Amino acid sequence: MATVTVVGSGPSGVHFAEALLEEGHRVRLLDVGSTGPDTVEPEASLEELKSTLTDPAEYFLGERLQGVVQPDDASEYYGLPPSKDFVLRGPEREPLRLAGFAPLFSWARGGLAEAWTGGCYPFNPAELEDFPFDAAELEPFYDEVAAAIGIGGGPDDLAPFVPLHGHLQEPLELDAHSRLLADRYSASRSYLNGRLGLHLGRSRVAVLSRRHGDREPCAYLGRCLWGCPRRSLYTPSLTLERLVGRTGFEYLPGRLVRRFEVDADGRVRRVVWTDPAGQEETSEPVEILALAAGTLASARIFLESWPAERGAPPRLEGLMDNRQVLVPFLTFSRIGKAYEPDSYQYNQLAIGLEMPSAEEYVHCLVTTLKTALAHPIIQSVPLDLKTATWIFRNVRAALGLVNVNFHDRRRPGCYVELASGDHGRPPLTIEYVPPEDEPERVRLALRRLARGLRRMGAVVPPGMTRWRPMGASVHYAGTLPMTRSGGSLKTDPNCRSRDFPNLYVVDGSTFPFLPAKNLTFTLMANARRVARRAFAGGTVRD
Amino acid sequence: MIRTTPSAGTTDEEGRRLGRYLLGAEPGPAVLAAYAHPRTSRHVGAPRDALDRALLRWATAHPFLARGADLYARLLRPDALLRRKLICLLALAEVHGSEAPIYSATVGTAMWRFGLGAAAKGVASAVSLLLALPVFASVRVLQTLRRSR
Repeated sequence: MATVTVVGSGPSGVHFAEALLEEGHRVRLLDVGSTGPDTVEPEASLEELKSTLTDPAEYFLGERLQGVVQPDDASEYYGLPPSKDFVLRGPEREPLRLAGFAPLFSWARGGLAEAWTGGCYPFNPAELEDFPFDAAELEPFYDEVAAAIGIGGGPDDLAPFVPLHGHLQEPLELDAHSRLLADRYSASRSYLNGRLGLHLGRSRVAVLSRRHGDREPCAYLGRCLWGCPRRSLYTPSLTLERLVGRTGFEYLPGRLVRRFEVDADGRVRRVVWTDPAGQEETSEPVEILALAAGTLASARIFLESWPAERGAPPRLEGLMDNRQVLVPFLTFSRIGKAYEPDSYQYNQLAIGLEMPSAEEYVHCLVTTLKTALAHPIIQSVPLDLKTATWIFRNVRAALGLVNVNFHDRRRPGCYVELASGDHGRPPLTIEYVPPEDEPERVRLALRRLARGLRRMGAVVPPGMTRWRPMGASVHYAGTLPMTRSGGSLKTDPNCRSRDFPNLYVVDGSTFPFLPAKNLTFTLMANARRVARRAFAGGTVRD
Repeated sequence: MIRTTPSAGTTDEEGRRLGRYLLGAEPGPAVLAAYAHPRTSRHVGAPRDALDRALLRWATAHPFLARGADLYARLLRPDALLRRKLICLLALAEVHGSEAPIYSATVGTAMWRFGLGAAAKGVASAVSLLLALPVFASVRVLQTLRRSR
């Protein structure tokens, strides 16, 4: 039995911790662990809250009205609501030097996934080809995660691209707009599949359609974006909650891990952390250390720990992220219909665009507009607000947004390193260069999508498609990739560092390829795989 | 970006006037109270120049004039104080349950009705913009002349 010190309470960290406990090990989880506001009126729908809250402006828009989207704000249609501010609020300003990348960091209990939309899409064998293990090795762990957190979905036209797995719950009820799109897809299936390589199916999401342990099923309250009050939408803090109090588990919040220290043999001996304000360093011994702080935060810890006798900290090549393009659409036959406030707010449909090679598959999340705030969209329309509001209220039920995701590969010129600083903490340099063929690939995919939407009775308004900046998807990966054979700055098939024998890296840093899908489900499955393989039965496999 | 410089204030009266334009009726007491709250003033900021002040004065004079000022600002000065105040009022209205009918009413599902309504609104916008253009163009010219002296 070993004591494993895990850094980070995001999806990788908590699932790794849980599996380690089940294998008979002790776990100490170091975390900054910011928390958000308490849930208000858990049984009220979004519309009911607007009438029952004493100060709805503070709840929905924030105490400084920071949730009001003004013209000079960043070019997202939506930001995080104030109740989710804590997800991105950091203990101190991270010194950064950025080129071509706009990263997000989280020190929240549960990590960035506390603000996710729940997408759980397993990687298929083609997408796992660069990984140093067979796809079959990961399959049981997708089942294990699904059993633990509850995922909705089922067999449909996306199954060839998004494998089915065990413990799937029935998907949620479709809203009327999504149902219409699904019906139109069915009516034009052979054209859409055959001519456009477009396949539509249900989103696979970590949202309950029936009771799961002590968590209630979705009651269609429309509050998803502000935080599910019924715990129907899974977030990693729910797993953490389950772990706290278990024998052998110690949760230690308020600790910002800076670096680890190694001995002459390269074994990690101590971990150094500060309080969230960045003051007062404390160091403590560790037996085995596992980084699960997210690709960028883990990279910083790794680089700041690089022993001086090995030379200057290296450059970690191969940073990956998914390019995302937001494509609004309007379904004509929905104009003038009433919108449904009592509904699940996030995407219920997904579109897969088949590509010449399986790795280039394009994954699209189709969100029909329901209870999201209206003013961000209204103020972006090039009309006076009165006219824009009138139009909006009559087309609201017809509006939707497709989030188109593209794969990424490890490439030179995309890296993370420590810059030389004059004093204080050295800035983390993050540089990202998109692939040369990206504009053409994106253009062709968007054209097929637009044609497919037209076939389903929807149009893409000209000039409103938005490319999100790199870094916005927060699907970071690739800086310490898993490989079958040796090499510095790599990890072995069990995510053990090849530079430090008792260091494991169990977050996206180790992924050698990033398909177009949300990687969170695979992060959780891989973390469990590593715990079961490398730490089985209370032992530590060399 | 949130401007922290206090403005001359987002007042009840201003909220009523802008609300008559934006929402077609005076906002309810809860929305007016939220609009007049000090945090709203802090959020929207202060007028930057004579054009900002002129847009606001024009808009609060009459709902029809407000449309022209709003459209002028949208096209030629998107971050005008008037726009910031209107967007704020819109956001406040949509999170208060009392204003729900303003957002959920529809013209029905007949496309012709929607088309006719959109055309009528377009004409109204165009006319109000034509009235507003010479006024604000003059303000800009005067402003530029003053600065160049």
